[in-house]
Amino acid sequence: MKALCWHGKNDVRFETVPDPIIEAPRDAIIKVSSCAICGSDLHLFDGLMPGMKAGDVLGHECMGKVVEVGSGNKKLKVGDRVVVPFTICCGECEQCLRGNWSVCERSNRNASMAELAFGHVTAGLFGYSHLTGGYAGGQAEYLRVPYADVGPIKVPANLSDEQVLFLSDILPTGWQAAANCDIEPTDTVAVWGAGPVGQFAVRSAVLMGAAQVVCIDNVPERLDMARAGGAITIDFNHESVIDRLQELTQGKGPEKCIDAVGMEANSVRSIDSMIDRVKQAVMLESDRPHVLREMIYVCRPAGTISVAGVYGGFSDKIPFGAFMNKGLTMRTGQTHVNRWTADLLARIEAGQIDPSFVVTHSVRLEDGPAMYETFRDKEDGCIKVVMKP
Amino acid sequence: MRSPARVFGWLGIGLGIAGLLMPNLLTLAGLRARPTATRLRAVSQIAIGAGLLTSRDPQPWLLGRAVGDVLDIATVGVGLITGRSTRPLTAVTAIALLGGLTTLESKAAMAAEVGPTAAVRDYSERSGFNQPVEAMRGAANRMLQTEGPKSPSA
Repeated sequence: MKALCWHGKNDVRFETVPDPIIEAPRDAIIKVSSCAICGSDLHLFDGLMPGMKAGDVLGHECMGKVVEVGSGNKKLKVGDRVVVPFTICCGECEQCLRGNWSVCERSNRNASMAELAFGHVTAGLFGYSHLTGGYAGGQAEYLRVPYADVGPIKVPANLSDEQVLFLSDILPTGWQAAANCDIEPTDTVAVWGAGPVGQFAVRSAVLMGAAQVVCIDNVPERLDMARAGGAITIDFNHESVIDRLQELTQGKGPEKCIDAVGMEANSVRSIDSMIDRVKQAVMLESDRPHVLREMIYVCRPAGTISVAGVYGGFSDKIPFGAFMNKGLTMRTGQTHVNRWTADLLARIEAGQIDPSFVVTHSVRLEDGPAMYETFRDKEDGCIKVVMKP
Repeated sequence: MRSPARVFGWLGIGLGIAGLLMPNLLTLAGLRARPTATRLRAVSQIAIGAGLLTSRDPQPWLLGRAVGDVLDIATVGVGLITGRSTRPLTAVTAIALLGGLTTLESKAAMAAEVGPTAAVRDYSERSGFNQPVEAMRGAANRMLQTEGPKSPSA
């Protein structure tokens, strides 16, 4: 089959790889109808996530039709149309039973690597390094889904791929980011980053009833899209984020802050991020946590910081004194996708939200390597790329 | 952004080679630098210069040059203030030159990051909602109240 494979920093290739096969009774094989490039795929493209090997198949946002089912899988049948969550979950371990799907204790085949890096094992993920199990990803013609009787979400035929594809990751990720804020009707919610997850976080905060939602970025199209979804926007190329947030909240600061940026914050608009960039280049620091610092500084005391953006390793100079003395709460984590999908699918079916608004580029899978660059460089108004194998 | 990176890359390598071959040059100019320190700085200049010439992303290397120049300004400034510089005019000139270089390097680094300044596509109608935003504010809570919470478990 054809797939997009990682071969090193800035090197993604469209090439032929072996077809996946059923390896365990609960597996299923999906013929991928649509897949997408996620912002967190760029961390792999930029060579910032450890544990990748040349030839690894990328991709963790995909959907398609079931073409083969293992003997022990009683949930799926050939022909089912499913969206595949990016987290692989056994459905039986203590964490899965508690609904903490993204920290499944059994699905990561390389548990010892994860334990060494993070202290404990986290769930296996599709196409996201050998730290998370080394599973082949979904930017391919076919995908093997382990524990396929747990994760995949059956979707109705009357909804398009673009309407349901993002149940795999970015829609529940934005939703969880907002849900983690326990939004009150009087709250100001500030969202750093107007990429795809930021866009969904903005809309989720609006749907959850925030009094005002503010979105911070410096890309004009992304700010346009955030405004369309109900956000007041701050372009940090042209105004001070802290001054503007103070002004919008009468000097109190936003009660809830969402980080939809993660480890690759803009590296030249502040002194601390310039220093982070230099340290990152010489491997003295793995992440650029400017957004975390800014959120801790500006968040209203007793407020909540919700981190949806991906961090990979070590961040320096986190103002923990401010964090502690202001009594802030931080909630974070990879998304517990299956905690939210039934609810979100119902909302899509009810017309409450149509996630396809975020798609800006629809291309063939073979155009994927070029689209990685376009997406990374934010060229041509690129916000979300969907690929058709 | 490759041209400024190349200019600064070759400049760094040139200054680095000069520092390695003539570690006493700065002392002769009245700046009282220790030869070992000059050699170390020269090595860093060459390393950053090589990074600028070979890396696809010149930005961190440009920032590295700017940081190095700021440290140089501080070193020369301290010498000037404490009276260790035997030729104050040379020291002041060096600070001015380094300040100019730092500014140019910082601007080049920023230019390497800045994306489009105007929207190339119009997404101002893409709300994702089936009603105006104000009608959707709090709609998730209303849906939960009327239909009950959806089970979080699969």
